[in-house]
Amino acid sequence: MRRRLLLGAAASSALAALPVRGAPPASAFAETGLAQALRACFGDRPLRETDHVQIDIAPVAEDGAIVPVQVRIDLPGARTLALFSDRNPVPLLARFHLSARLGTQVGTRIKLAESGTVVAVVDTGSELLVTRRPVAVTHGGCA
Amino acid sequence: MNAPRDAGTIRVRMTRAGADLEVRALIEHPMETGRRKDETGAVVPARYIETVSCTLDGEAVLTADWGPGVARNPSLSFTIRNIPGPSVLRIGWRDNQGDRDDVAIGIPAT
Repeated sequence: MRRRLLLGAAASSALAALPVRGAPPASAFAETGLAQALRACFGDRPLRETDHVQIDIAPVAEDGAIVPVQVRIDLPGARTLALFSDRNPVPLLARFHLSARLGTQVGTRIKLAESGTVVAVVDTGSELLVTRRPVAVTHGGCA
Repeated sequence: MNAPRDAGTIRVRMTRAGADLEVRALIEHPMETGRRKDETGAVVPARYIETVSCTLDGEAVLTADWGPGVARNPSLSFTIRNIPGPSVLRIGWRDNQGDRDDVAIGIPAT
């Protein structure tokens, strides 16, 4: 409860500093920038760089419409994995709710609108761990 | 839109690796972003899978929330550790238009 109050206070002060369209998106899958999408998912919690989360993705994607990506999570107690692209109209690509039964890797195929950075954030409950990988896109994926 | 389709949209490939099970699901779905225009110039409405759930004997193994940034005909791959014995893997999806499908697969004992 205390946490919620603190977040509320932070949000309203951030709102005051922003122009008209400053309201937080109703959905984390809204069309925004990466920073806003991260805030919609995680509030103001800090992100810490980690080696325990690895993004396996080709450095050059010929076709941005279908880009295979696999994330390896070498961490006990990972609860969620969120994948973002900083150059897509909707930066949040996917969010995975993990379980103790799950192995270390989760894979899917994403769209990348243009060359940029793919960001993986793992929430352990106590920490947010982040890994980034640049990807050059030859033909944009109409994302 | 809520009626199940005639043919299944979900294909699942499974590979045993000891007591673990590698799962790859392929889903037939357009994953329309809502920004693409058709040949007449009309905007094709957004139509994308919002949720995929994977359960083993009713227990959640992996749940995915997706947006329009997941590729057309999406794939989802993961591993389930320590399959206890004969069990049932169920994979289902629901999209933003309320369409859905699911499949249940019996996993034999090793």
